[in-house]
Amino acid sequence: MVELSKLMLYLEIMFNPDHIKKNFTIFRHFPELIFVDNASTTQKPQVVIEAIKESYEKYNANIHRAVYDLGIHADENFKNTKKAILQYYNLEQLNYEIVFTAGTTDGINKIARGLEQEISEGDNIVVSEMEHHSNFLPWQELCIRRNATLRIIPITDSGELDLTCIDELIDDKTKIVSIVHISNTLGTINDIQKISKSAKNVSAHFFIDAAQSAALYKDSFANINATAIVFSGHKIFGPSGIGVIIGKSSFFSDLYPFNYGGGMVLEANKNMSIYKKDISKHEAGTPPLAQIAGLLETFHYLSAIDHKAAQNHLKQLAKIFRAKMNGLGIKCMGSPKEFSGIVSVDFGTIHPHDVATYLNSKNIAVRAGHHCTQLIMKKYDIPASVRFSFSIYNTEKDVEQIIQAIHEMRKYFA
Amino acid sequence: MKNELDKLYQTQILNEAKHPFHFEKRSDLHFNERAYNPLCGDRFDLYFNIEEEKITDFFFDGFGCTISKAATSFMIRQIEGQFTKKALEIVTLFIEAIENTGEIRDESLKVFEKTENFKGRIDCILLSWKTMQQLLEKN
Repeated sequence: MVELSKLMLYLEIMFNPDHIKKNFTIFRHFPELIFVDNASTTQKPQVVIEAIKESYEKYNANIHRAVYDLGIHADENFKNTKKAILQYYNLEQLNYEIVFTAGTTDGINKIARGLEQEISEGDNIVVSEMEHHSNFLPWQELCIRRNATLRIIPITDSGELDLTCIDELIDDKTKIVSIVHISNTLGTINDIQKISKSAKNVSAHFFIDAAQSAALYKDSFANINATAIVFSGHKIFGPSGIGVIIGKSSFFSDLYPFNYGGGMVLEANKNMSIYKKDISKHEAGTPPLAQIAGLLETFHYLSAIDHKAAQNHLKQLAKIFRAKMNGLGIKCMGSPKEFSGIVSVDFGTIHPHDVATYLNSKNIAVRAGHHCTQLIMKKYDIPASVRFSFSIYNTEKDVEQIIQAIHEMRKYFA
Repeated sequence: MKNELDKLYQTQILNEAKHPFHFEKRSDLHFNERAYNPLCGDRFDLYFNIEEEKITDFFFDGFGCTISKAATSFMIRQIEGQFTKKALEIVTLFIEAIENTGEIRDESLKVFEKTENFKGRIDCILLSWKTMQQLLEKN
């Protein structure tokens, strides 16, 4: 249950970026900070930080193996967090369950390992050219291990997936389709509904890398019928060190365990052991309990946000930023029709690290590099870019200050 | 903050990056080694000859930030014309000085001495230097 004081705080969120900014303690410590590296990790609201602190101070005990009050509370917190996540995405009636992981990368790797025996020579796995390495390399390696083929949906020049060839790429030999929902580099929002249909037509597993969409695009998943949705806590205003796989109960039930150890075994024998049948077979060892407490509070916080307004806000900031950059004659990568608040920029002769260092001198935090999407960099024939990723606490004033700093930077490096 | 920026992008570094020494693709030279940082995409191709254990005709080209480009250019100025043994000594001393914030004796490299001015950019300074160190150690 959300405490009344927190509820009062939440009510302020509706939807005013300046008010929202006050919920994040980092901006009290650094009032001048313009943080636009949110695709990498988001800042944390005070309530989430407090929840983590409180879990250590008042509720610290392990789950499953205690019958004392603290242990029972830990168990309840574990279950309640899973329940809150399913409710948040309107998935609680659709036979989904949750497994906690260390993050998106860990989640996708675990799924890929667990599906090892389902992939045979001649099968194929479909991903896209837009994938973060975490949703590309685990599948590429699986294909190599099993003599299967990795098929890649190409990107158009505008930075969208070219879905005209999707029915050729996804065929009756396709066992897995795994697609990024929102590109962490281009900001493109992909048509996961359409891709899901093609995957389901051939009875392939359909996985969504929701790292960039899990926070504010919560209504995107209930109608998709995905096999599993994977994301991290730290990109949705929650704790680092925790991730989530929301998967179909039947999927988890069939999936081979990916970790072995305490809590997942039914009977340990000298020769061969027998594992549990329920979801706990995928949860060996002690889960990150303090992070789970923080994640529960994260979902309380997210539930109070007007999501449509938040989505429009991010889109509007990206739109203004793109227009102003065009005005300066600077090239933004791609021009997708559906996009979030992420824009990557090629500054031509000024190196991305020099851009990032200069902007840092103006208290603007951006990311320079390939953003773990080397396939996108190769597509645009550049080694690296500067990424501006806006969030709910960024404002139009932030955009104006960034543009002013870029203007001055060009003179500095001229 | 402006001062910090100027400490990093000192005039000497900016000038060296704008007008790098021997910045030219020279595939005709015998040795061609790539200095590559996959995290930021910086990629310099180092072209040189070694004749009678002496490094001759050292050129480079490629893509990199102001710091990595200037540092590569300074390195070439330092070791072109040196015997490989001496070149390895110069390169190793510089890397040790940067990594352990030690003293840099050579006047032309002193711009890099105060490593606190290069927070987060040490890899940029050392990109080509480390590549060259590995290659010289192998030979």
